[in-house]
Amino acid sequence: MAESSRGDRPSVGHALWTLCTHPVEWACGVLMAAIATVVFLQVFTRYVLAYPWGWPEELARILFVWVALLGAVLALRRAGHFSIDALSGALPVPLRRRLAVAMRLSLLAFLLLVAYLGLQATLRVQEQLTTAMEISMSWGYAAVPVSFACMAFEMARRLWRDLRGCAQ
Amino acid sequence: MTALLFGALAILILLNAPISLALGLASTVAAAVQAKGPLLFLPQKIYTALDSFPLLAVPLFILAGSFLETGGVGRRLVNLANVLVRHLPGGLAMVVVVATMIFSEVSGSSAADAAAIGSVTIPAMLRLGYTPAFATAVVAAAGGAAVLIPPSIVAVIYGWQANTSVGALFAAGFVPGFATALALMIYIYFTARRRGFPTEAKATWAETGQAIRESLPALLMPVIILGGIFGGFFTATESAAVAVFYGIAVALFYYKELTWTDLPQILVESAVTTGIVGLLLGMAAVFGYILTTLQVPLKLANAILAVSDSRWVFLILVNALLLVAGCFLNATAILVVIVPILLPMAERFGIDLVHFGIMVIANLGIGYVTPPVGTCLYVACSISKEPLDRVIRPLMPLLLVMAAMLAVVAFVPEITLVVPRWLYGK
Repeated sequence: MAESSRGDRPSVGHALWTLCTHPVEWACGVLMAAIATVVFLQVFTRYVLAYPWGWPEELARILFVWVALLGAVLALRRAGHFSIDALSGALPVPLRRRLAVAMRLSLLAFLLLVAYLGLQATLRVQEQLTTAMEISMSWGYAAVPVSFACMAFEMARRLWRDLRGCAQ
Repeated sequence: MTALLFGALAILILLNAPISLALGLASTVAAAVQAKGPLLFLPQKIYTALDSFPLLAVPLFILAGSFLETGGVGRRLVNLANVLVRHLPGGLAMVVVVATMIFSEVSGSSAADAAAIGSVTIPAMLRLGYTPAFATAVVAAAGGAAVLIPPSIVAVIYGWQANTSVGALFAAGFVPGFATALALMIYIYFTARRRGFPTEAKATWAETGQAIRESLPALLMPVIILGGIFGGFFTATESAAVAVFYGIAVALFYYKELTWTDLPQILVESAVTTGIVGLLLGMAAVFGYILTTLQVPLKLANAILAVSDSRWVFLILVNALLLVAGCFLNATAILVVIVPILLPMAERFGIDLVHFGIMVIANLGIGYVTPPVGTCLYVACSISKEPLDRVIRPLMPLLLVMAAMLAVVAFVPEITLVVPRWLYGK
């Protein structure tokens, strides 16, 4: 994972980010292992114990929501999301920089909006219980605000870097 | 409103925004202007889209694919293919196709297929005197054709979108997938004879036996995965979890090319790939919701019906659209941006959604290989270090072969539907 920040001293934002990116990587690794184990357990309980448990499927689905959304944070960090750079590459550099700032600013607003709405949704479903495990639906829904808040942070970091690049 | 939605989407994508976030933002803008109401549907759509058991097959197939890729399975399958076809004209190039097809029966990702097989076969082809451009082109084309062979991640995603059985889609991919592979091999055969490509001595029985013995654990895997799905023992998702554990066991204990210390890295990398697909699917659900609210597919279908009510005209238009889109967009992006618009139209034209799905996937397979954006082409070029523009010449005839097979798949539904009808009796 190459660090592309060109700053002389590590910025506060960067330090904060490294602090929280490692737990995200850890969580993603553990979640992937957990998903495989839980789904495997479902097959095992059906064929070996001869009666299926209800909870593995439900748990695996919740874990998948988490890994899909936390994995998206890591992918944003590594610039791994699909994008097309054909046109923006053809523009003159100053214009390209300004447009990139505008684009990132609008995406930042979107990410913050979904994080906020996700928090609302998470609080709203607090009383609803899942069918098999009977835990609060908030356990699953919380993946949305957590992931989008982390992605907003990463977007803000890039925006900050863009703006510093423009000023220089 | 539709203009606003697609205008915002186009501007964001052209400005190099991640396609997933561009979809989400454009949909949000359209929804905010249209409804002026609360946008609470955003997190709800994202959550309910991902909260799906069939979709769970995606991370599991990604994980199983990377275990096999790093675990030495690719090399054994190449050895096996080698003893089977190396004595034919263009033998080693055919080995690529055969090994990719076998590997793709256990892996769900075409990029993983091309990487696993290409990393072994490209150096071998160069040693035998094949040109780097031709070697690269063959690996890329085989990877593209492999997308039809079950299991396939894009089939899982299409099944989720079209609400069709993933098992039926897997079964439907068999004949078109192997027919395309065979067509590629026939082309390689005649090219090799014309241009005098090197051949090798026919393998001895001892060599063949050795290769089969070594690859046996890998060969058992498609039997377990596909047999399990088609026999009704597991769902596609469950078979993917079985594949993960079987793959780890084979790579760790039998081939011993994977070590425990590799596991964390593979898990995190698979999570990143899952995140790329996952965010795209979540945002696609938001986009799909807005499309339906604005009745975009319905209006488009009526517009096309006004011009022609021929199913064939529709299919030709769809194929042309998907082939052009495949040059610029990645497979998953096409599935989430374009296919939701096409599905209701296909239904109105009375096209079987399993057949339509295989046609879409065959298009995506060609899209994996067409420059400038072709995942398998990138993978193959990064192995051979051959510049993309030099690969295009040897690639063109291979692409034409794939396009010809696509035409057959598109216009003769029976080829696709014979296996699912036989298995599921529909």
